[in-house]
Amino acid sequence: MKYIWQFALLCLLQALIFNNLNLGGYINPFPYVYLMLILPISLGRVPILFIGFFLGLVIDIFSNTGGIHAAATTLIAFYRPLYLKAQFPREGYELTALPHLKTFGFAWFIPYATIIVVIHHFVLFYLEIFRFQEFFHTLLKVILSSGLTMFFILLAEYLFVSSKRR
Amino acid sequence: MFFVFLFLELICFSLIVNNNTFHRASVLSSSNRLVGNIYDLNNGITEYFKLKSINDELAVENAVLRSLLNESKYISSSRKLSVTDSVSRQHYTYVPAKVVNNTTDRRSNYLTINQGILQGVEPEMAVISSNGIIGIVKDVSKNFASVISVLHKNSSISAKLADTEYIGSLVWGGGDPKVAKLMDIPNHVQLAEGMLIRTSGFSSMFPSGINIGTVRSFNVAQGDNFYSIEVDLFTDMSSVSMVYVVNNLMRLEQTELEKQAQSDDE
Repeated sequence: MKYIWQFALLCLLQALIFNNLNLGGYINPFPYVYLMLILPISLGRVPILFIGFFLGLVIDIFSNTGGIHAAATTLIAFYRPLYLKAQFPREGYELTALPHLKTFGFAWFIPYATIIVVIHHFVLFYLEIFRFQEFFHTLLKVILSSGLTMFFILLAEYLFVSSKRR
Repeated sequence: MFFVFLFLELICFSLIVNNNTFHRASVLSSSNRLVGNIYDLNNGITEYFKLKSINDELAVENAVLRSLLNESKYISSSRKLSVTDSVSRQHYTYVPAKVVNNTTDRRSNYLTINQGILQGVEPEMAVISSNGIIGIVKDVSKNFASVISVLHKNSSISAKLADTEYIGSLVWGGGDPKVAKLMDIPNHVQLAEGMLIRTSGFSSMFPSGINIGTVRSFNVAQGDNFYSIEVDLFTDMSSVSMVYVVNNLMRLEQTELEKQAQSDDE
């Protein structure tokens, strides 16, 4: 149930703070995808899809963007179980394991988070602009914004995830 | 599982397409009541940090308005006539509103303001500030409205080079929120940096003669018949707080007539 609180908190943070960060028009971080990263591994694929969809939809409502956030989060919700399966550790996942930095270590968490964040931002920014005219401009936005989002995610990992909780 | 994914993505794309059609009252926007109230609450807190600049802005505007009052004019004739003015009918009325949410760093930016249907705000009304233009109302709820900012990829506003009769359309190319582009000015026009650009009044939304900005730079691409002009906007879109919604009392009449002319063509 703590995920419901995290859901609400991340949505509000995104709408009230991160949406108002204005860094030269190139960098819009979307740290709300953090929720998609930390959902339990044991969670079924269909529930994850719906959580992703509704998370994106709430952000869309706050930022007047139609369905682009929902489209991007649904895509990463679809991709996440595939990635987790491909990266299956030799000894298998513990059924209750949460995909945190401290559970699996740097070498596992960084690629996992980066791939998902970059896919999300890539889809998001290209859907937002909906044309390839400003291709490299948009690509630069994707890269810079993903970097900042990763920074916030790692910050959250260090600040709020105690090692006791695995 | 894959079909659930496809199904959800289809919903998303239909939402995106819906959102791009201009005048659709959608529930899923920040004019929605719950979202509007959250933004209003947030604005109640952050507003205090902007009070000084808001005050300055309002004071300047008060001064300008005061100078327009009859009391501040010197009547040179000693004879006083009571005249009921039948020539100038009221054409526009204004609803003051406060911006409760605003972005400038997206490719398509929106504002949310704290006035809605109950205060007479309707979709397609223009929004201006004391400095210049802001945007056009998209959706309204009882007490809130979402506004398509000038800084939106589909925003296109009819603009005129002041002191000439040349009309172009003002669009925004992304990036710097202080710079927009003026299109469709033919290349034989004499241009100079710093020339004033105002609204043309050709659309049924903006009154004519509202300041937009000044010419920042201009050039003609090889083989092109039109200038590409960069415009310094007067409004600093990233710090707007008090705006006015413009109600054109004759808008319906004008749009009906124009619609009829178009349908006669077909």
